[in-house]
Amino acid sequence: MNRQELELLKKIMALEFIVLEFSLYLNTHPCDEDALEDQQYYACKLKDLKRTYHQEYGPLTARCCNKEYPWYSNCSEQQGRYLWTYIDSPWPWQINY
Amino acid sequence: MWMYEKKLQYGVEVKKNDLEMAKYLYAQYGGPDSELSAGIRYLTQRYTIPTDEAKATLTDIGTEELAHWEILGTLIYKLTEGVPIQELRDIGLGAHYAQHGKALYPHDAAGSPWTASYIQSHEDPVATLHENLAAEQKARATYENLINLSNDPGVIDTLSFLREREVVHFQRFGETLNIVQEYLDKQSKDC
Repeated sequence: MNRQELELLKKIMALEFIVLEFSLYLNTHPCDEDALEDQQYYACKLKDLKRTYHQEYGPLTARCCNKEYPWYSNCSEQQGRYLWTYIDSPWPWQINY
Repeated sequence: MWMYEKKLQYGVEVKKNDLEMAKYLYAQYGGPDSELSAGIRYLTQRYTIPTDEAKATLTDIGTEELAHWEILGTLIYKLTEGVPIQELRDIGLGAHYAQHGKALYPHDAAGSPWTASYIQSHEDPVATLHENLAAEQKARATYENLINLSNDPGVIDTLSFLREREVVHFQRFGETLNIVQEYLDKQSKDC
């Protein structure tokens, strides 16, 4: 995982946390308009960044949709480069953050 | 349902192998007040709890606990990665190696396997939410002890994040208890 990819992944992790924190708050304050507005703002930013990540580096999940498929034309099971790129990127416990 | 994303909730960076610390961290991987206990506890309690706020809180905090469990697993994995077997033995992880090799296993810091008897799930929502408030405080206290035991800034950083989450969850469960209490008071007045 190169530096740029890691930086984008870290941004996604941070945004995911912000969205979660607002969501937990909204679970017990479901009528707080300001919090809902912030939650939505960050949720949309998160969605955009995930789309960017997916287009540039491949999917974070096994159910991403990308019409620009495929990302690799040189698929090789021996070299660990697959058409099914979900399994191509490092697992969270293998990454040097 | 649940969906997996190939990312951690919070990053894990360790300076070097630290088997002793890995052993202690098992407290939060498979001990009584571990992230595993927390996740199973909340996700089991949610079916019968009254109010939508409480169902949402148990579901989403329970889900977050599973993400914390993954962080703990990552910490233990990184702290033990590539160490020679003899070192595992010297540090008291020989018994773990005999039974599991270098694979992780949900047991506590002393090697006792995880058990459902660590948790309670009760139809009475006041009893249940008090159990959860206590669980968050016990986990917070455990993280403080683990932070005291570590001298790795990366490990301390991740443990500090997890400690803070216990505080936030305690807050949310307190609010949930108030909501449920109001609901119960209203119910008894209506009768």
